Amino acid sequence: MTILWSGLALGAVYVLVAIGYNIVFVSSNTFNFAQAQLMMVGTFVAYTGLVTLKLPVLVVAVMATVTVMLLASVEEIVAIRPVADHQNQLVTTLGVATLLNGATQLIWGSEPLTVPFFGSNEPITLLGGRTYPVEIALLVAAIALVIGLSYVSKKTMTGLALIGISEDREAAMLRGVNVRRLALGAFAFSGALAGVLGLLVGPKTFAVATLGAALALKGFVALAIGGFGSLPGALIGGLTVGLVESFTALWAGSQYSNIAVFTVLIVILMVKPAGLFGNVRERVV
Amino acid sequence: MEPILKVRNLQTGYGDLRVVWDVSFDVYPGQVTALLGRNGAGKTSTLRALSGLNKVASGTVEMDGADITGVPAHKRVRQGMAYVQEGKRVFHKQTVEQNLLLGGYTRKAKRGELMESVESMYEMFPILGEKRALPAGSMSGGQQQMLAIGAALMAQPRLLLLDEPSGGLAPVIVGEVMDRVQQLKETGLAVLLVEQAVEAAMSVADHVTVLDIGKVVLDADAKDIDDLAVLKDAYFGRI
Amino acid sequence: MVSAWRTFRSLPSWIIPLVLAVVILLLPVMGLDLSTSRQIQLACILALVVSGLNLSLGFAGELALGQAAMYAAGAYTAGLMSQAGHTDILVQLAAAGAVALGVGILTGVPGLRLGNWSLAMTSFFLVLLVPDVLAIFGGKTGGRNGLTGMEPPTLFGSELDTQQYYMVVVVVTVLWFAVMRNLVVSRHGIAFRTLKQSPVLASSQGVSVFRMKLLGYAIGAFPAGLAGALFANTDLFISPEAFGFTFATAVLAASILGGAASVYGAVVGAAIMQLGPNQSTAFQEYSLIFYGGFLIIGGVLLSGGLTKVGRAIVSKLDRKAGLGVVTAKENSGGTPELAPINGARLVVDGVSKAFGGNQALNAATLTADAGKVTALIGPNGSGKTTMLNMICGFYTADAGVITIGDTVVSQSSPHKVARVGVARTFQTPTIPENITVLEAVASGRYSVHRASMASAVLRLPSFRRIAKADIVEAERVLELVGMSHLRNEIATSLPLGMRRMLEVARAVIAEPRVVLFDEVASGLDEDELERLADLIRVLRDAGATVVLVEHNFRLVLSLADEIVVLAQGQVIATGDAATIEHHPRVLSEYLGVKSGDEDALLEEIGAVDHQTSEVK
Repeated sequence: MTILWSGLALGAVYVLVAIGYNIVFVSSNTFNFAQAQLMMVGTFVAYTGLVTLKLPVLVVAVMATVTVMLLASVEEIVAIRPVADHQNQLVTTLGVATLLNGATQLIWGSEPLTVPFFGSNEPITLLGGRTYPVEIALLVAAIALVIGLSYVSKKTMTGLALIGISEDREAAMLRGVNVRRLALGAFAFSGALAGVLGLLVGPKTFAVATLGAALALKGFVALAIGGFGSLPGALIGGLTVGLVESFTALWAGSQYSNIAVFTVLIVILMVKPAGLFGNVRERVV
Repeated sequence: MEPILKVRNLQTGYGDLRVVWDVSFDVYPGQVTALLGRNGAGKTSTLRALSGLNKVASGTVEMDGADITGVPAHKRVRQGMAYVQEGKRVFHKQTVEQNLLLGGYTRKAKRGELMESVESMYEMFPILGEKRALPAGSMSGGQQQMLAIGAALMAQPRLLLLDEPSGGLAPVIVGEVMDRVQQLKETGLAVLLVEQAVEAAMSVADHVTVLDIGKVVLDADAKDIDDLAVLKDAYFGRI
Repeated sequence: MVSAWRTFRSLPSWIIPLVLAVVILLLPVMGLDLSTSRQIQLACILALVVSGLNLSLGFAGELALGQAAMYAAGAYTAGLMSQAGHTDILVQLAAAGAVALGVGILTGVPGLRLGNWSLAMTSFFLVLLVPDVLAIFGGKTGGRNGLTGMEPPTLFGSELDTQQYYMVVVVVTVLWFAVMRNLVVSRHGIAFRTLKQSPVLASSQGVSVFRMKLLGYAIGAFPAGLAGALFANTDLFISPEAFGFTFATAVLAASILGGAASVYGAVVGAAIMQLGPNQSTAFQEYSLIFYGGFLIIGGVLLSGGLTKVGRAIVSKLDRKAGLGVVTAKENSGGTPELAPINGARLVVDGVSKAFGGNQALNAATLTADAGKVTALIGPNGSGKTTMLNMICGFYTADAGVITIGDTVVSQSSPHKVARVGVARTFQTPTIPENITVLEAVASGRYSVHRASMASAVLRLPSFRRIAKADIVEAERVLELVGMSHLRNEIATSLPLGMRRMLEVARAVIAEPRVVLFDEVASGLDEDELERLADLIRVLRDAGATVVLVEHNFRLVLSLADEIVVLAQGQVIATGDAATIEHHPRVLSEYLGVKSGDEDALLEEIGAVDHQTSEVK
């Protein structure tokens, strides 16, 4: 059962990455490879704030939110907006991820840093398994975000506009939606989210610059399982990946976890390429 | 009476493909101007340029006397222009009510005020009221067309661009759509109606402009057109 | 100055790279120090890996990022062989290449059925798996500690010293680039570029998209394997750290920087990546930032990389020296002629197709005969495009049969239909970038007159014959469309009218039995329409089956032997122009008259028949 909780917590991290992917995908029809790396920057800022500067939690949260939000906005303007096609966008966002990776290693070094959880660190027993408050917090955060963002997308004008953009960009423009500005806003928001979530993710994964690529890839698997653009799909996909990874490590050894996740990816892409909740449009010549 | 829309020597297309070569006409408030012609004549390209979706290669578009040729599409909505594209472009995954609400995006009104407008749309198109909580994609073509028009009207436009509202609809439904257009015209709305279904368009048109291969070949008041034979010649390239 | 440049440009394009290669080969003999020659060696190895990525990315258009994994596979293959006593470098190279090829094909088959992002991420995931696979086979591979116990490489029995091994590395690199170059400048390179630009276009030219993409991916895997083997033998030690994301990113950055769509771009990019950042340890720290920066700048600005910048400079100098300027006047020669074509009868019998709830075609039937122009007209939503796409094989019919000559093509995929002898044009001209008009037109012959890739690489006589015929035929067809003077222009730089004519030329070069023109007249001016009409008549008179989907009524009236009218998915009328113009149902469809009122309309029209109406 302990494995179940740690697997779910790990899965929650992937869910958070996948949520970031989805926000960007819906608003800009782009895949931002650097999403996970932005979250890593958030964990480093959390470290600096909490450990180095010993600032109060709320201040650190704001620091992390603002820093990563600004980084994300710059990324949108420099690496996404001027680039026309999807393939090049993947190259440029990969470039941003690499650059952030290099920069964080330069500033904070390459050793993993321990980010303290702002809550309690005492283990608790739940349903026969041992878990930590940070793991529960991650799970709660993932579920809350999925529910909250789904609500926003259905009940607020901005949310409706975003869903509209993802379905039919032109029709959205003709309703008066400033598509470019909204895309930038959504992107910045995904950055802000990544930043503040660093305070939750850091304690679980440690602040490690090189973790970005692995998170990015496994977050993608979550997306592939759940379907591009679906928040509930991201939840199921991410938790699935976390559980597969953890249980494989337990039963077969940690060197098989990634292979297991990869197998899941291949199977999903072959059997249900649009994911569980995505929809495929008929190809027209 | 001053025209609400003045189009002069419009040249536009897609990329470097020129579809519209030289088109000029006016649209007046409270009147329906029918823009007719065979497919490929440039009718949709003209509307797309007027709405801001396509770039204008040369020529001008004036609305209320002001040059809007370079104004981006989403801003034109705020200025009072609404465009109902051909092909019933509604948001399939969102409900009827969500589609209508989104139509009021530019109004920055409170939820209550918007819901009042939504209710009035349900009065004009009762079938939408019945299906208000259903996803738009589950409705029939005709119902989606009503929804598309309703969503455009939510923005409270003064100029409505309608692109082939009869597309793929049964004649009875087409008649209903044209009745609504008649109603709207009588409230003072200016309507630019693009249609392939000539008879349907002629039933509400005050003015007729016929395009062929990107140029105007006929421009007349509807009452001056005695019979459809004139139109037929225009259609089959005799002119 | 100008004459020096002209002499320089008149040399064959492979002279300069060859000279450079020889110089690099002999550098240690000329006294280059050990550490620099090692750097050059590593640059060559990196260039091999990058060239593999270039083939997938630059030419086939697939962002497949798994090179690092194939590089690892090659390295460990060679390492394990050396450990076991098989030290001959040629054997190791062959084995490493084969293993990498195998990995490439294995991962390529599922990968290539995916969309862009999925392929990129799936292939990138392979890099994540490398350390795990090594750990699983830890006993043999040494896991995270690396592979040791390698014996020095040998060639034909004698051990290679450092200098000799350097030469082996350079020679292998040069040979591979020669292979790449021969492949890329041949018609196969054009075919890859076509595939990258538009898989739809490629399949309509008879290219099996899946097979071609897999080939590109597999051929791209081979040099990574070679590079791995060479790398293993450089230090006689393999560290798993060499195959991580840093390396994978460096490979991509080198590809983008040098220019993915160029042969030598790999060398340029690899040289910069290897020699630049490794000059000082300070640079090592910044290496990731550089790679990231290059990727961003490359993706945004340098689409085409440094080699494209280089080519632009060369063209500028060319123009200053008066080279490559269009001097020949457009020829207005006599009546163009085509050799007789064995046109095939096209029969569409009772074909239906629905998309979701929309019935696009409903038991539609039409026949197009050889030596005739059959025009397909109809209002919006009538199903013309669906019909055309069905004939070409892009959609499968729900019911009904489509026959071309004696062959039933209802279930065939697009490239198979193309090989039966069908050619088509598209509503928007689709032409690969960076190729000349001559090359673009010649690409129409690719699947009809075939030459294997092996013969292209080795420049065998059979290949040379076909390549020559390509040029001769392309010249002939260009004369037919009056574009001979544009033969060396970059095809995509031409205005729309010319690009349409180019598409027509490309479609007819292989003498297709059935030609489908999809709204080919839209956007053309009067002169261009004239020329197009002439060409269509020539085609018809030669015996081909011509199908014209058109809006331009005047063109249809002047060209068509038979007109078929589609409306709401059904054929409502067939016949010559006079019949169609007075057909009541046609009129009602076009003018939107409610059925039942047709008689009234007929009456009105009949009444006005002999009068001329004054129109503004």
